[in-house]
Amino acid sequence: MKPERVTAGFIPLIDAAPLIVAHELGFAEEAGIELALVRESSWATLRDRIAVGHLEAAHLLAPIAISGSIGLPPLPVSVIAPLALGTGRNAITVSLALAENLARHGELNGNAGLIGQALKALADERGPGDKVTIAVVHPFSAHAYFLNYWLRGCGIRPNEDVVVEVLPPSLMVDALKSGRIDACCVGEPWNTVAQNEGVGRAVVACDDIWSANPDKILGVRKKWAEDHPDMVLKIVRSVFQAAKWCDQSKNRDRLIDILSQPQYLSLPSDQVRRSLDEDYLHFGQTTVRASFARPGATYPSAQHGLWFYNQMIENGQLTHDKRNIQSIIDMYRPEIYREALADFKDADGEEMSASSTFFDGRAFEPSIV
Amino acid sequence: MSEPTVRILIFDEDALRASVLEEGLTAAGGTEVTIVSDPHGLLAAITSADPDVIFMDLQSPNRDSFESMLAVSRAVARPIAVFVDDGDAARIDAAMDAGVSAYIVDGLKKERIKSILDVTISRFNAFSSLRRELEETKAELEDRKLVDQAKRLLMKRRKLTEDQAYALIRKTAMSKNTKIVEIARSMIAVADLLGDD
Repeated sequence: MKPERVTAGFIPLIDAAPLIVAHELGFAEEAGIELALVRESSWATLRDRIAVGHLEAAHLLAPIAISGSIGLPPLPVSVIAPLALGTGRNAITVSLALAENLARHGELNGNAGLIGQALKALADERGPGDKVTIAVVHPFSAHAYFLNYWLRGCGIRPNEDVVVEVLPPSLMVDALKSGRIDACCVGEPWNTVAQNEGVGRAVVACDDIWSANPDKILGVRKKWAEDHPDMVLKIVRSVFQAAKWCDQSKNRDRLIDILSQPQYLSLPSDQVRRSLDEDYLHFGQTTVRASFARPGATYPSAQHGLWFYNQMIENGQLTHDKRNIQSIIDMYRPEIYREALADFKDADGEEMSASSTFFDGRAFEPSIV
Repeated sequence: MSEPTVRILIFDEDALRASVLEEGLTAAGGTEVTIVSDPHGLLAAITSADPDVIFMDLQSPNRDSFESMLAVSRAVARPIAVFVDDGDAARIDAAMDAGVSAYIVDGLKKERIKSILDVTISRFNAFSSLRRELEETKAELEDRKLVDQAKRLLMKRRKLTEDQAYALIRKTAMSKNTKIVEIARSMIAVADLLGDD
């Protein structure tokens, strides 16, 4: 049978690896899909290309998919989330100058709460004329919500006590170097690259802010998914298989070779190696739990979506409307995930968020607003 | 001109392309065009120009920052990506193929948007082919320089005329089934190694 063609978009980040490997190592082909990959340079363009039908699927920031599904401007777009991606590879990295200043107020090897206290002391000392500037990758991103949740929890008001702005991931390291920003909250490989190039220091793992730390989904255009239910199952299965392959240490060298290529991350292989190295980024007692398929990591949980929704309201991005809740619940599709992965014993649909906690000691309570 | 002026803001880090676009949109008439090339000045420019339509390069990694600025800017009341208005799939495809992303502020007449978008698409496309031609010309010039240098090497070492030298290079390229410029490049590399010119 001739494989059917599916075009999927991605942003060059480490957590696009399962999608890339599904294509490169033939997991998609085995499932009967000709998976074509398109690299994009902004989330906005991925969103647009899904909306107009250039792409069937994409590696997407979960909150962008939510805002599109709710119908927020600038572009409503209906996608479903049958698989989660990107768990556990996000961090807050500070410039060396900010690291030095923070160290005067506290221990940089401490936990997220202690570092937040140091930042609060520094922000108070510097006052409104000299605010610390922190960049996130998108206004609708888990990074923005992790950062703001952490700041508020430490008594720092985002946009009042510090400036929070948006920069694309690929420009973060340069912006730290030039002093345009003092810190950023970004996914891998950029924390590693900043540290490797000696322009920044990763001080807080987003895993420490919220242990579940989900941030992306494999978004599939809703209309197409409804018309091609079998294809969606195949995509989910092959990307999940690829995620498991990525986690096996015997495949590490091959994975590094693939990701380093110009059409993917286009980075020197030692940078990619360090970014995948579980021991490279240390945060006090925490090491980034770098894993593509750790239990629950790929499970598309609407509870995550509801947490993001709460943060959107908290950040003034929208006002609550009961219908939005239904849009979010309809977007996450755990039943597709379970059906696609019925053969995998280790994909039991575990809800990683169920037992997760926040840096301030709160347990994750999936609540309807 | 009975129609009101349409205020257009172009954000393009490629200043040359921006000016090509500006020229086209100004010629179309009834427009007031502001160009921004530096992302740092963008928010201020959006606020002061108060545009009806904003165009930017679809491939720019700064699109996400730009959209976040739109969200905070009170001057531009919630602009929407043009693709929302999907009555015209062919035009949307044409815009994306040309690499244009467009944001329209509510209230602007649909027909006006269409003609402005068409001008933008054709200018973007014209610029792309211009740039392609320019690159090809540049590459050709580089090649010609290499071949000239290789010819001079032969003329000096083997006491050939220019025509004979070229014929020899050409014959070698044909027999090795490769390009003339590749033969020239190898010759120059070897001459460099031997330190003999």
